[in-house]
Amino acid sequence: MRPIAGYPDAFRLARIVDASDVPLELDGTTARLFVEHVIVDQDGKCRTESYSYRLQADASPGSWLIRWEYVRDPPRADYAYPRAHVHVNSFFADGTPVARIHIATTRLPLELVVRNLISDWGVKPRTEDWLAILEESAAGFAAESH
Amino acid sequence: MRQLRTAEERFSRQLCNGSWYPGVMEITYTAAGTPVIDLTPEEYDAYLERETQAAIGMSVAEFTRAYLAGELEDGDMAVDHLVGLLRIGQNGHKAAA
Repeated sequence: MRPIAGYPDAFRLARIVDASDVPLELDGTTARLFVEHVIVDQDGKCRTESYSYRLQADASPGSWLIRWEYVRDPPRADYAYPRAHVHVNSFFADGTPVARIHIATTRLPLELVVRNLISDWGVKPRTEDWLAILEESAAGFAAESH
Repeated sequence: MRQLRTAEERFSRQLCNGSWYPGVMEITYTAAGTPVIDLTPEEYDAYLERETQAAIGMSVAEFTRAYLAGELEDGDMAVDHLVGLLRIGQNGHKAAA
């Protein structure tokens, strides 16, 4: 991990292939997970500035199913949406699209998203003790991260 | 130099030695073999321009202006992605333009 060029206090985590952002491939499914996470070093502590975790049906961004998103600060003065939220690419029973609705969440660790992918979306873990690994990794998320 | 283990790793090496990142200062590898590419600020700005053009067909400056003017819809996938990528409003950054 290296600082973002020109921003020595900031780090961006994403998969880049052929000079473009691409989603991660997942075992056991053709679905993909796009991961983007910006971390800022403030006073020696790592703070999450933003994240975007996007479950896609395939490699195409347009195939997205669920997006978990967070921004630490409102990007605009009149930004009224919950800063941590989820989008679901679906419709209500009456046909109203849901995709652009910001459904409020708490700020989530990536481990919880991965757990959901395994429990509900057919992703195959590479080890039998995956749940313990994820729980251990996520332990202290609220206390240690900001 | 150790042997590059995967096709992707070899491709990344070719990529970094080729025209995509002509000014790359250094390429290192994690213990898992993932290439870590250090971009210059100019290269990173070019990357942001490519991503913004690909996502929404605007330059970084055009997107930033339109977003801050409230002309783009929050909740749109490309808009949300670029707001995070360009760090609009975060830590005092108006944008990485």
